[in-house]
Amino acid sequence: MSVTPCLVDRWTEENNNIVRKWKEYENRRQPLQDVRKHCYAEFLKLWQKIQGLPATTEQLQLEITASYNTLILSLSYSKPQDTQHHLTNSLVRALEAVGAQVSKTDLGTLLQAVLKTFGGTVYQPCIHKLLLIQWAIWLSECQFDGILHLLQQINPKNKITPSGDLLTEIRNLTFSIQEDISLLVAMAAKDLKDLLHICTFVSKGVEQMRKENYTEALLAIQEAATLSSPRALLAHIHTLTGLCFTKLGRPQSALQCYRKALEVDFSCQRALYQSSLVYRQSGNSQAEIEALHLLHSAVLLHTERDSSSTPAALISPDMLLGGEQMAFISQVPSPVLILHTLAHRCLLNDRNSESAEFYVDLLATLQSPDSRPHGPTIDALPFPRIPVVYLEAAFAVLKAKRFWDSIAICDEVIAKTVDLVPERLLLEPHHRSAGPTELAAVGVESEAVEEKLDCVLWSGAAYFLQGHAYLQLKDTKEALTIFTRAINQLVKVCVKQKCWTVSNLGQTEDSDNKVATLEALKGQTLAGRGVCFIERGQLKEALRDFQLSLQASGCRNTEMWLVETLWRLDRKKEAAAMWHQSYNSTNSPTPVELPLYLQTWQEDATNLDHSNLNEKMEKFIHSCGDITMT
Amino acid sequence: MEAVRCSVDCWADFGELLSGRVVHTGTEVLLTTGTSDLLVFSGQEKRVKSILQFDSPVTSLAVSDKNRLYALCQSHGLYCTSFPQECSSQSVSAQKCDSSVSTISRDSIVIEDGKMQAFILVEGILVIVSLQESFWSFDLYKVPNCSTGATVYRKHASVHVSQNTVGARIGSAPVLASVYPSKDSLSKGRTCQGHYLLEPLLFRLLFGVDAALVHSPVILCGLPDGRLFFFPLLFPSWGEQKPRIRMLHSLEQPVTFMGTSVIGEQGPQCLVIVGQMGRILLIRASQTSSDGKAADCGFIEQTVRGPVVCACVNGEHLFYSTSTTLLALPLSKTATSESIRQEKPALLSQSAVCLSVSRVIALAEPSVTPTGHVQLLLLSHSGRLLQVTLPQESDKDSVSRLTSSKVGQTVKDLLAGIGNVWERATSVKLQLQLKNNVLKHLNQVINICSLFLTYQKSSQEGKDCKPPISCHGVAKWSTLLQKEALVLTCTLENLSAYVLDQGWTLCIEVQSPYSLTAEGTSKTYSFALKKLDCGQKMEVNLPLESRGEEFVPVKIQCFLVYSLQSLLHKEECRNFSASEIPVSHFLEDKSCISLTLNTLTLDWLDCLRIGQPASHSEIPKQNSVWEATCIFLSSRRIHTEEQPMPKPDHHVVAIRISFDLLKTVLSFRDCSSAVLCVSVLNWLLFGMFETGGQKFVESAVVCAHGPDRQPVRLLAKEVILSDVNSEGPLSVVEVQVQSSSMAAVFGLHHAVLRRVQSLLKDAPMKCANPGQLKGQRLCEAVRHAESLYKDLQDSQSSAAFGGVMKTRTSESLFDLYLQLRENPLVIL
Repeated sequence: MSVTPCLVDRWTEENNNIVRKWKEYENRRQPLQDVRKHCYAEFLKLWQKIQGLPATTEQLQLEITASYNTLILSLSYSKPQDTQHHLTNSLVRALEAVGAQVSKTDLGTLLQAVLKTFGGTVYQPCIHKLLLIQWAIWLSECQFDGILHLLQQINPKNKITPSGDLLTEIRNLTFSIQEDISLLVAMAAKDLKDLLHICTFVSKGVEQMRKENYTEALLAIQEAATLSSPRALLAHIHTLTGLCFTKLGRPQSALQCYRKALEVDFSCQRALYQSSLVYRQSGNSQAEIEALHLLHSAVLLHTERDSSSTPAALISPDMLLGGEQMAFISQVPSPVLILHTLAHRCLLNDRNSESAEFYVDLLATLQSPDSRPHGPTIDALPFPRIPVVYLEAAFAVLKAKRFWDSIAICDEVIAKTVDLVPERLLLEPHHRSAGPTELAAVGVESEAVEEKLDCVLWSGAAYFLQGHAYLQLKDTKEALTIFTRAINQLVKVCVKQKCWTVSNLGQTEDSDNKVATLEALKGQTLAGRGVCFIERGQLKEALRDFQLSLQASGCRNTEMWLVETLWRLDRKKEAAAMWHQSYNSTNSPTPVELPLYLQTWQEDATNLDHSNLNEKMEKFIHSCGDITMT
Repeated sequence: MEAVRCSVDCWADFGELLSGRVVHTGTEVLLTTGTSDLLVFSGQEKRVKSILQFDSPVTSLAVSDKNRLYALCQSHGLYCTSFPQECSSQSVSAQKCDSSVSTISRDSIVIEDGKMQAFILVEGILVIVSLQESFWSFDLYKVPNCSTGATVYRKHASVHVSQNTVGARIGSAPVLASVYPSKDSLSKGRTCQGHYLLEPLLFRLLFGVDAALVHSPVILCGLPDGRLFFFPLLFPSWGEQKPRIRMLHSLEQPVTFMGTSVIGEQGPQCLVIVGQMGRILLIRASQTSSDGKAADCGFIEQTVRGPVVCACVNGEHLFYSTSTTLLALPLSKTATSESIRQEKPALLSQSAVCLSVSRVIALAEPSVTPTGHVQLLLLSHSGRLLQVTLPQESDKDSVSRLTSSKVGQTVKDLLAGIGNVWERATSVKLQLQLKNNVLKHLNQVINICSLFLTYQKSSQEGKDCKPPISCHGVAKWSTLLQKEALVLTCTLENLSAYVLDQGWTLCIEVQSPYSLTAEGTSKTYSFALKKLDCGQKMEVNLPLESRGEEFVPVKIQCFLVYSLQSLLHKEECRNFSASEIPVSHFLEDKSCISLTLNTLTLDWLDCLRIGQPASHSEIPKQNSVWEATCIFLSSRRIHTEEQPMPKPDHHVVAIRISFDLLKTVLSFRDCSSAVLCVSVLNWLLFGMFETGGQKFVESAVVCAHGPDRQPVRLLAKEVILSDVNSEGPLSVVEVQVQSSSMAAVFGLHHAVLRRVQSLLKDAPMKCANPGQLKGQRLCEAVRHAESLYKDLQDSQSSAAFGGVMKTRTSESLFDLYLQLRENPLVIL
């Protein structure tokens, strides 16, 4: 028996030595993963040594401290189940030391027995330390009921009746925490308790948010914000508060919160992203673009810095909150998607040169081997098809008057798609009566057809954009060739039934859109060729194209061109009638949503000077009217 | 099927293998042999440079460009370790012969998941296929940048595909490959293990425009149920409208290999997928230009004779190994010929060229030497690492033109081919012969068995017939090295029409039920038979005495045993026992056919040594214990009161057998009583009555030595009893046994009684009329016997209660016994 005190001293010394080593490393803040692992291994060894002796009260303090130290490090190394297993072992041994018997199987009864046995004794602070670990394990697994039950048992019953609410229970928590100076610990129990306190509030808030119970969530998170917490966590808390405000329809408060979050931690990307969304909602494109731009640079910076891992604290909030909760908190779209959104927003807001730059960046990112996005990412937000991105880029570059770049980008798309386009693509409604056995085959078939239709659209659009580029370069001959090619591509598609909308291709919405887009594209291409003909003075051909264009898809601009052509052909009466008709008709907006590269085409350089034409027409009609009157 | 001779270079031999994998990484060859060891083999030095020991068998491996080695271990997960470094140049000579062994600890596990089935490393991303409960999961992990010290493998994405349990085969793993669009048409179609290039048009047709635009590699996966899936690796998702992972085709059999093949001069134009049962899927693009149609891809399915164990593609050739031989299939013929473009799969085995390398279980990626020869590195089932250099295409062409310089070569090749065929024919013939032999043996064994069965049947029915094979035993005394020993000579006689061939064993079990030990002792002697023709005899001798024990009477059982193991050829036998094939279970030592022959009993009479009463001069006198003690004491000059050695008193027992009985049973008709007495002794001692002129015993008194070397006297005389039969005096033969040794007396008595008993049992009795017997005499005899019996019981019970001392008990018992014996009843 005389051996034990001697051993206790020696092991105490060993424990303290390891803790000192850890503290030294922690203070120096060097990214040495090995030290951490080394400390963990040493603690584990010490703990196993202590467990070699039968549990006695003499060494109970030492043993519990050693297990606390081991478990704290094991939180970041082992699976929760393993840590739980170690913890249960420690508790059972503690009970054995005082001679109490309890079964290992049920955790609940074990905890109850532990609290009852050690309540009010010298060992209470120690035991509470171990129970903090239990709290941490449950928190990382989001087992709030377990935590609530545990805390209810810890809290003295006489103070208040147990409310059944976890958060109040935590608020009222009285923990006996006295540090034993002779036995060092890797992390003070008080610090751990405070961290657990905050993290439980945040986790609870996130859970409420997932249930879309934003008012409740707001309460929990706002309270967490009042407590002192690490910077990154505080930023997250502010972001979450902002998110709640957004959902509750208070964008200004939300923006405030996001700003606070960014003030606390600039690398809080979620806040930036969320504020960009708020700005978009409120129509403040300038601010939105600004936010997106910042976000993009932040994400890029982050990925660069990510590789050089900063020394993490012993217990980080990420660890306590668990992977799923953290993923929810710091969810940010991938850099490529951010860049695309940024470029897209710029283009829509007529910041053409910026947009062009961003698009070129985006294409480079997609091509470069290092910074490529990999795999089907977990993004909830869809990224457009790659050819569409290319076409948008070509369009943006064209708008920024970088004609040759635009032509090159279009070439890329044409090279990839044009040989996939069949000579004739017949779109026919498939029979609804197809039996269930054939459904799969039909699905595959329609998918292939749709892909082909996409190819037609992409190659046609690429030619169309190229044609415009040449037109703006005043190379009408080349433009004419290109437009003709585009038309040749587009007329390959043959829609069998006019009432296309009724039944088709499975996803009717989508294919409708595509067919409508095709028609619109056809119209615009014909109109483009018409303009070419006019430029070259081939008025008859121009007239034919404009008329065909109007058949495909009506557009006010084309009508005006038609009027102009008729006028130039000296068919003034027809021109006047045409003008009159179009002038009076209310321009019915096309119901379909056209792709970006076709949408904003109307306000372009090819537009006629309307006022000039209008004036001409009015004058003519007037004179005609005079004639008819007389 | 034509065959091509190719030069084979054996690099190493690792012994028999069941599975294996070879990866060629520049100078080194990585080998797994189905065990948990990974061998790093140096191709230049032709030796194993280092051995990496993992916790469980390595199922697949890859080497990253940063010299990191990834190995997937069964049920543990993915290990990542630095590639074993080349030992520094100055110590090369010192370490030439020994290879370093290093154990890879669990710390090197980077992704721990026991359900992983396969992985591939592409562009710094690990794609891992694992089989969860009901679905296949494709997980993508980014390999951390080693230079900055980050070590965490973060999961970036995962895709799921439901499991198809119908066609799935347990045991085969999924096959992964990555396919890049080739940038120019001159590329070779292959970059390194599992990475292939594909012509852009086909790439776009199969995998979509998007992947082609961003030059993303496509991960192709062949699942064990035959489904082929693909997804682009480097790609932003485009939402839920399109599934991320799509099915390309279903081969309906486990996929063994996926790769691309270069056909013609336009780069890798063909995607090749090979199934385990021999189905080959070729996917080619048809050009737009030909008939105005859009470019489309054609799926051509063909079949070769399976199973395909492993395969690889180089240029236009698909090399694949069935379980027996390695074949090369020219894909250009099959993929271009229009005739096979119909849907029905054609059997392609005709066009395959046999490379005359047998039982290949793993193939590494082929390489091309600077001189244009294709080299294959392969691992054979017999554990050999072979490098096969194929003849160049041009060589073959010139052979077909038969230029004079090549004629010699052709003749040589043909001769070598003939040699090969002859060799194979010989081995097949040998096999056949062995099988025939086995059948012959088995037939004989069954014949003999059936002989015994019929014999048994007929003897049960009471018919008297001779056993087909019998064994008789005679005990003899032999003197060896001045020591006398009793030897049992057994004679096995084959009276059947069949030869007892090699493989049969004669087993003789000697049981002495009356041994000192409670259960008696038993010993079995086996004698392997060489060959015993019909009518031949075989004699075997075996010692009977053991440690001077009172062993007689002994029971001797003879068996004929045929061990099934001897059916097999010796070499086969050894093979079976070496391997753990369950076949050997039923051919274990115990499996045998056993036929019971006769049972003999050897008693005191059989073991007597007759007629050597005065042999003391030859045999050193064996001192009795008494004498020995006296001699010892006198040698120590201790004077004892010289008591004469107690004179052993002769014990006498007698058996009386009636004259009539003997006469009828032993069929003596008219002979004098003296002759009869001699005959009786002959019968008792030699088992026969008429000695055929030569008489073994000439007088009615026989002196002999018993097995315990005590002198014994046997004596037969005629006695006339007057008081037994009512009709007059009854003459009986009294057989007396006299000896100083109690054991001898009782043993012989027992033996004589046994003979008489068997005689009575055998002979049909013409019993004397019991009425003739004198009742009074009979009653007296019975009463006397009863009183003796009572005394016996008394002494037994007193002994049981322990009231009397042991010696006295035994003495009284002995007296009773003698009384019982001295006044024998007459056997009528």
